[in-house]
Order: sequence, then C-alpha cells, then structure tokens
Amino acid sequence: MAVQESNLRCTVCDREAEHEVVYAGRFVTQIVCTHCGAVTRLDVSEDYLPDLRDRVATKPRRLASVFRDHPLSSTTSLPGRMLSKPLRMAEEVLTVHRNRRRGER
Amino acid sequence: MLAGGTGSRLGAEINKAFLPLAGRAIAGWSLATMASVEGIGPLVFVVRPEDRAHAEAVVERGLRRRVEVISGGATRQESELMALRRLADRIDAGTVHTVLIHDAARPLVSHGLIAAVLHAAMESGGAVPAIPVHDVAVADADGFLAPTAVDADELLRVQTPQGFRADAILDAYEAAARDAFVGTDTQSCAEQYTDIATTWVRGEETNFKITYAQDLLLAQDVVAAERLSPRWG
Repeated sequence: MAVQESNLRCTVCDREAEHEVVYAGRFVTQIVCTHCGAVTRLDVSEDYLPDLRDRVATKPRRLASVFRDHPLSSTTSLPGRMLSKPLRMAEEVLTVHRNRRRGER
Repeated sequence: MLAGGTGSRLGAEINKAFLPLAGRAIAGWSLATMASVEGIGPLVFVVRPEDRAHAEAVVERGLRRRVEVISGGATRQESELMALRRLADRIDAGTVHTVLIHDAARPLVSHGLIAAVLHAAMESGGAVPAIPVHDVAVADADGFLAPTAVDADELLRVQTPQGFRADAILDAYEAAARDAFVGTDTQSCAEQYTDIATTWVRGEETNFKITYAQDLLLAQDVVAAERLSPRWG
C-alpha cells in the first residue's frame, strides 16, 4: 500500500490543502483531507484482484527493466524492499477489504 | 506542458501532476498522448525546480527522446514564457510553426482533440477547445438572481491545449513580460497582444482538470471505463 501526499481542493471544506492519497496497487482507494479530515473511500475490490494477478505475473519483467536502467540503486534498495514487501502487501489487501466493507465513496 | 502547480514547497507532498493515475503519473498520460499526435515535434515539459526528479522519472518511461524538461517560473505566465523561449530558436528558424500549451493536470485529453486544436490553430492562427455552457445564471450585487444579460449560447468553458502561431505568441509573451501584464490563460495573452482571431473546437467532458480530490477518482473511473492505457513513443 502506497500513500502519496499532494495539494488538492477538498469538496467538503473547499480549501486547497494537503491530501493523503492511498493506493492499493494501481488504484486510489482512499483520499483524506488533512485540513478538515474528510475521507473519501472507493471500493476497488473488483478491479484489485485482476490487477494484482497482473502485477505478480509481470514482476520479473519489471524488475529486470529496473535493474537494467538503474543497476546501482536497484542493488542497494532491493533487499530492504523485499523484506518489507509482505507487510506492504498485507496493508494493501486490508485497505481494499476495509473499504469494500464500508462501501462508501 | 505545464506542471508548475501550487502549494507548499515543504513537506512530503508532491505536485499533483506526479500523482499516479492507473499506474502512470498524471502528467505522463497527456505527454504520451501529445507525443503520439502527428505534426507535434518537440515537447517542452515545464516543472518546478523541486519537481525535476519526478519529471525525469516520467520522461524516462518511454518519452526520453521527445521531451525536454525545463524549470518554470513563479507564475503560470512566466512558465509559459520560459517554454516559448526554449523553442525560440526553432520558432525563428521556422521549424516550429504552432505551439500548443497544455495543463499537465488534464491527463485524459484525447489524441483527436489535440489534433483538432492543432489543425484549427494552424489554419486560423489560434484555437482553443471549449464546451458550451447553458446552465448559467447571473447574480446582482445584492446576491439575487438577475435577468440573464448574456446569451447563454455565447458562453464557453475553455480547456487546454490552447494552440497559437508560434512567432506571434512568443512575441505576445515577451511584450506581456515587459508590460507586467498577467493574463488568465494563454488565450488572454494572445487577445491582448496579437490580432489573432482565436477559434474554438468542441472540447471533451473527459478532458477535465484534476483540481478536487474526487477528480482523481473520476479520472480513475474514466481510465477503467474506456480501457485506456498510456501510448508511449
């Protein structure tokens, strides 16, 4: 699960403020306005599993591409990323499941 | 392509133009579409200095040969001027005849719309995409609805890319800089400093600008519904 922060305008407080954008794989599944706390959740469970299968299937090719383009940085960062991968995947699946249960948008 | 952005330059937040949308940075979508349109040559990607690493990463993914990343100015207009100056030699040499200026925060501009604006701008000297608006009302100074003084058929919601004859728009922006004139968009500067009669082509509802948080979700839905994928090369 990845979280990016960016300035967007909030539809609730209508302020341009930092928002936390939560991704599950390629999909935005949650956006939080850090000014007013408004949370928008999206159920992406239907698209998430096929996308996950695709990501797993293409991982070797994508890894090879990254190594080819950035051999030094990949070598130093890969061990840490491999160790943290199970936890990141678990957080991702949990987020998708949680937003599916709430069924909010 | 403008990705100047606003907001704090401190903290971990990134320019929204670099937020992922269905696996690609928002800016990457329209860059790739632009690159696929016949007749479009050099692509100048204007970013804040602190966003250069993000921009280079976007360009790395299949657009290395086509895109020139430059740092922008303090305002949108300054950024546009920097982009035009980057092209100035090629404009003077006649290898760049028309320029299109586009917001990186409009990721879903279509190949067809870009081509239509380019064609119209080459014919008339200036063209913008726009959508007629009809559901408008006028409020008076006291906050009450007033009889509509404007013919609703004349109102347009303007989008980007906006296209203009390159030499004319470069001269316009240089003049605007000398005069400290600040326009609202490219067309406003063209209107002030050129004699170009700007035409318009029908825009697209999916060519919206990602401004609100929910716009990101809407863009994600459009990508999924239209089964879009970035066109690289």
